[in-house]
Amino acid sequence: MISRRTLFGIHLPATIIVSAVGLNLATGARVFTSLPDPDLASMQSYESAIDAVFRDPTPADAKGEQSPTAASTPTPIDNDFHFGWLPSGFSLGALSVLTFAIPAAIALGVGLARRNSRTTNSNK
Amino acid sequence: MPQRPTQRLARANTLGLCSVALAAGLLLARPALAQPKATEPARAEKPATAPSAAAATIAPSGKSLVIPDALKAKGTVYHALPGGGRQASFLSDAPFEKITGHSNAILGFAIAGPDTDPANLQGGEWLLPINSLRTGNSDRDGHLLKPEWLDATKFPHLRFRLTSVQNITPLTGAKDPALRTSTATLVGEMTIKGVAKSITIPNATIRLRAKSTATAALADGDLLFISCKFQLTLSDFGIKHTQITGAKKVSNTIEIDTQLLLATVAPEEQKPRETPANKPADKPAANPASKPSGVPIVKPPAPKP
Repeated sequence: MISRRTLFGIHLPATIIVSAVGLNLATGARVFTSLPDPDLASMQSYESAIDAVFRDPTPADAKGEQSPTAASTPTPIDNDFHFGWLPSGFSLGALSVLTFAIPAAIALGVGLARRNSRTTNSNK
Repeated sequence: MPQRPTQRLARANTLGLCSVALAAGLLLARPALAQPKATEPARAEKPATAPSAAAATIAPSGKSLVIPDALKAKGTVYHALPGGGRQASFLSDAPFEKITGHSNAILGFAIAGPDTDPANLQGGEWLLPINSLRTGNSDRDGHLLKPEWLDATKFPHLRFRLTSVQNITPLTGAKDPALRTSTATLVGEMTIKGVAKSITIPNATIRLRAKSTATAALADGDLLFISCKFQLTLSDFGIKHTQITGAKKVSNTIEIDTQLLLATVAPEEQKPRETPANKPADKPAANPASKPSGVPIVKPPAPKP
């Protein structure tokens, strides 16, 4: 059975570090954390309506009267949550791999050091 | 001497507090460390090119520009519609970071050409308020306004004035005047941070859509949609920064993507409408391509031999 000291000193910090890195990779491995922005969400909501009105006709739409055009693909609006390596500001933007991993790494280091010292003492 | 459990607990608590304090310190120090440092002191740039004409002014409503009478007389006026979908985006693809920003607050107008050739725009001018740029990071949005970047206090707008339209190519087979699409090269003058440069934008797409039930979902009146992609070099406009030259967090070459919706009805006179996102999902916007309706705004083009 895992002791409480091992659990909180080694396993928990290691889990936090692995989870933070995993979340970063799962959300796009961005450098900085980014959060959904309501202004961008509002702009996004118009994309499909504009596309529906201005999409150029295909031959099927216009019974062969018009050929499809090479409509330029607009730069996509990226308004998703990205858990970055570094924080991007205060409040929720402060959440990042770094802000979680540093305390966890320190705790892990302390936990490992204490375990090593205990092992050394018990061997004497 | 062996430590008692209470002493060990106290030491562990102290170490824990120290690590939390260190993390908090790093967190608080980061914005200061990330504070942009300009390579040169902020100074007012002199325009490289003198503006070719007096700049249009913003109407009292703040939603449109005052159009000079001489331009109005040249053709049908289409007004930009701020506050809806995005109108312009930029992309900085630097080695260290990829940044995209968007704005839906562009004010301006375009003057369509004669009925036989409406894509031959007779003029146009657009203003993009710097403080309307959204990158998905409010701190970064704030940095953009600072003197070392776009200096929104001194130069609150990015301005583009259309001077001519060249190489107009009606797209093959476009026979319906209510659904006219052309490609063209736009030539104009871009002013950023007080520096004006002449730019040429090839492969711009100019789409005209006559008023219909489908277009009414977006705006009142006949619609004009100008889409184009082009690149700008920040250093050409006096924007030089260590994050461009040193840290490589921002690219010196920025890709601009414009998706500008304009309507014959001015934004002040547009009826309020719910955003497309609020509409029921079972009623998708009709595609005017499949069911063209409404009053054509242009006459059919003369058949070419």
